[in-house]
Amino acid sequence: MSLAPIGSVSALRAVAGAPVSGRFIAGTDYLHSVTVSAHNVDSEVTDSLTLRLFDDATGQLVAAAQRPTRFVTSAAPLIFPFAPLPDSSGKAYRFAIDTDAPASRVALDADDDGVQVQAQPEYGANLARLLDPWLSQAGQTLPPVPPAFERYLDRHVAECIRLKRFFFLRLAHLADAFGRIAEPVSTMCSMGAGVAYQEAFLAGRLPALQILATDAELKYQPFPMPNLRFEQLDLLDAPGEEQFDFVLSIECLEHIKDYRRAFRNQAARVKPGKYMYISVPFATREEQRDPELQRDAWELCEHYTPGFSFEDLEELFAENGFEVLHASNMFFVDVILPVRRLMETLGPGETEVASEALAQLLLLDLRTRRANSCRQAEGVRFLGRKAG
Amino acid sequence: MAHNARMLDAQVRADLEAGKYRFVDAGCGSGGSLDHCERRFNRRPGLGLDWYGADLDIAREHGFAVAHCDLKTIVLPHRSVDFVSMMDFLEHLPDVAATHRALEAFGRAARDFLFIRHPSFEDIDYLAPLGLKLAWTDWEAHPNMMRIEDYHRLFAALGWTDYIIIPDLPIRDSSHGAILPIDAPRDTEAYDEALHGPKRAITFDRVLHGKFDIFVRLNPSLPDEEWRAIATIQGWRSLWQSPGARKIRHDLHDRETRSSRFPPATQTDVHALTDALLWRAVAHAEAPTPATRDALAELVKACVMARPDGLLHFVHLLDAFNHATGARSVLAVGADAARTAAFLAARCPSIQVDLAPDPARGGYDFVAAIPSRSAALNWDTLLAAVKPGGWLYVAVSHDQDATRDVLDSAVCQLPYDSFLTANIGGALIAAGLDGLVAAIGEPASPEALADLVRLALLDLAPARGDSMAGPIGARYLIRRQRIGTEAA
Repeated sequence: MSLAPIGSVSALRAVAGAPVSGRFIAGTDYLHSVTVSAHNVDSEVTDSLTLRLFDDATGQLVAAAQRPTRFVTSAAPLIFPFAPLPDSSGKAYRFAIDTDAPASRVALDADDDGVQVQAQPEYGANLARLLDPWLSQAGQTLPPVPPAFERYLDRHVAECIRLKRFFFLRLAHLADAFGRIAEPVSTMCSMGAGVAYQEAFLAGRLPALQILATDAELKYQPFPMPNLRFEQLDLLDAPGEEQFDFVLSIECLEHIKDYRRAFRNQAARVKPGKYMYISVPFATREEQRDPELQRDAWELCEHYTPGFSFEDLEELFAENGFEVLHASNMFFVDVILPVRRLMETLGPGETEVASEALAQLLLLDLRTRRANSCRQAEGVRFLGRKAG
Repeated sequence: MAHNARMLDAQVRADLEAGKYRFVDAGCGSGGSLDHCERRFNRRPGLGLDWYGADLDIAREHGFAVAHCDLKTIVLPHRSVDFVSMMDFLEHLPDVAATHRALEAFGRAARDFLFIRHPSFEDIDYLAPLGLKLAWTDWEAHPNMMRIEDYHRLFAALGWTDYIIIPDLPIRDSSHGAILPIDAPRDTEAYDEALHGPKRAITFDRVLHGKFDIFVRLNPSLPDEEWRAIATIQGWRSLWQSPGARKIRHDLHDRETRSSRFPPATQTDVHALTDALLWRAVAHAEAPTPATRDALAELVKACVMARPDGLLHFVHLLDAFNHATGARSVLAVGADAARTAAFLAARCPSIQVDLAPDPARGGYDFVAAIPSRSAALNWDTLLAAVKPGGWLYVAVSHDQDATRDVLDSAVCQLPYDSFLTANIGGALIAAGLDGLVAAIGEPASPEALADLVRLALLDLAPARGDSMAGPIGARYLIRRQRIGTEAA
């Protein structure tokens, strides 16, 4: 984890066991942590350190965080996470760190200039570019992240992570599929887009890509982007004449009783020689016959189809004149379950601080191997190319 | 129209015809044999061909040119490459007739020579009366167990008379890991005392060989000197490759077996996870008492908190130890190794752990060394500390070039006969775990501790994303030769 100094705190007494305090000016919005460099003089004495953060202008307490010191080792960065402060950039803050044990032997590193206090610089420029290796895997050159969109993309990815469930992973898998296309993609159409989390990210990261997001109901559109337009479209209606380089639907077909017709209509919107991506719940053919799975799929998710097998999708793609370029599972249980459980234990500040780490762990879901059961992996995705 | 996977892609065919590739590797799998041939024959690029898409994905991720096709029916452009390699491939074909077809096709495609590596099926009848077998001689995936006399007949039928067959992998006694008790289950990859029970200790009255390297010279104009340089196994006896010289692509072969032993992701007991990792060692150990369980959990927690890579070192070292069947004495060097060794000793009280070599022990069954970036180790001492038949485990980060060079130099001069390497700490998992632990601090519950271990276990089966980002280090598990086995 890279740490960037946000300012050194002078006149700070870094004596073991003594309270320390300081003042700094935040360099960014969404300040979410203060990190100090600490070391444990005597590991036999363990205590808890509490950081309190005050608005220097008003004296109001704006955040607090506590950390045990049992495993603090030499010069270890000790992070105090707290709920992000949206308008923190340029504001002065005062902090105090206290111990609950007078005999504490944890000291903060200091030199002649005082304690070096550090914080995560921003939401991480890395979040905006996190998916670049996948988006460019077939050798495409990505445009630089537009400065105007950098903060937006960072926030957008962080939001997808914070929302838990599958938001970030849907985006990651889509980026992986998109990046497998070795030729330029100028136009894209998304079916059943909802509020278009994935489409909005691609619109921001790839400003030259013209995206049409469609859904049977036009919903609230929280992501206005110049190259992202919305249109009402029922997948069961006959397709129009407009065709696209890349057509996708994410967890859409399972909600449609006549999914073959929906797939046919979706396929008709792809230009000859161009590409289609779908992701749907996974179930083997045998599992699809399981009444319990069928009932849960309907009652919990309103899925007419409890899941699709590789064979089902291979047939669908072949019937509609598509060559399958890539097929793999997604939402592997051994990845998503522990990450999800750990996320449940995190407070807002910890989630914020760990957003990049959580994203990296979730990216382990990008595997190529195939699962034998929906109990191993909950989703499946296909990328195909239309004949022509 | 859907793509016909049996046919070679038109672009690939065009590239072959245009002379883009120096050789074709039939049955390239995930790219290991492509890599081997590029280095061995110093000709590149090669084109790998295989049927299994998942393996090809891995090969592509490692930068190899590969294509999907049915090798039983493939037709390649005439004289389009210097040579065709078939490493551990022909035994997977249905029968000798299919082999004849394949050799004919590849013989037409190659200008200079064919290179075949074939496991030995010569000694089935010799070993059976001794109650033994070679591991690969009853694999379901080997329907075509051709012997050398079959090759002689095939080559004669094809009109090939200029060929060299060189036996390799000498096996002198039953201590070799590929020698199994004859009643070991079919498809067993290597001897495992915990699974297969004891096997007879026998020194064979002749040297068996595990494999043959076969070279067929197709181009009579190929200079003799060049042909001699090609048709040799000199310099290729050892599997050991300097980690500094190339990217490591091998992983411990029993990964899938091991992964299937892990409890499902719904399991939130850290002890179930670590016992699954150490299944050989704990198979005969008593269940831990509540006090021991608490102590073990504390040790795991200490590994978690030993940032940045303490937890990854923990799972990799336990995994390697589990591979080293029957080790009872352990020397652990380096803080990460010492922490994990303390866990081993607590879980399996019969295991003796030292943190510095004790001359009175007369060597160790398992020596684990995880050097820190700041502290160099005395490799000569460590290598000498491994008993004959014992194991050396080393984990180094990719920025420890000097350490690797010293290790290379030392190991290459010693009688070691088994080398297993794997990447350690895929970039995503290493950064992800470290960042997560930094953010949450000490795991607050046993369930959180188990979930962190569960995630670290994913590093034993690297994900695609990790291979794109690259690993942070490598591990080596090296077995010292057992010298002077018991007589029959």
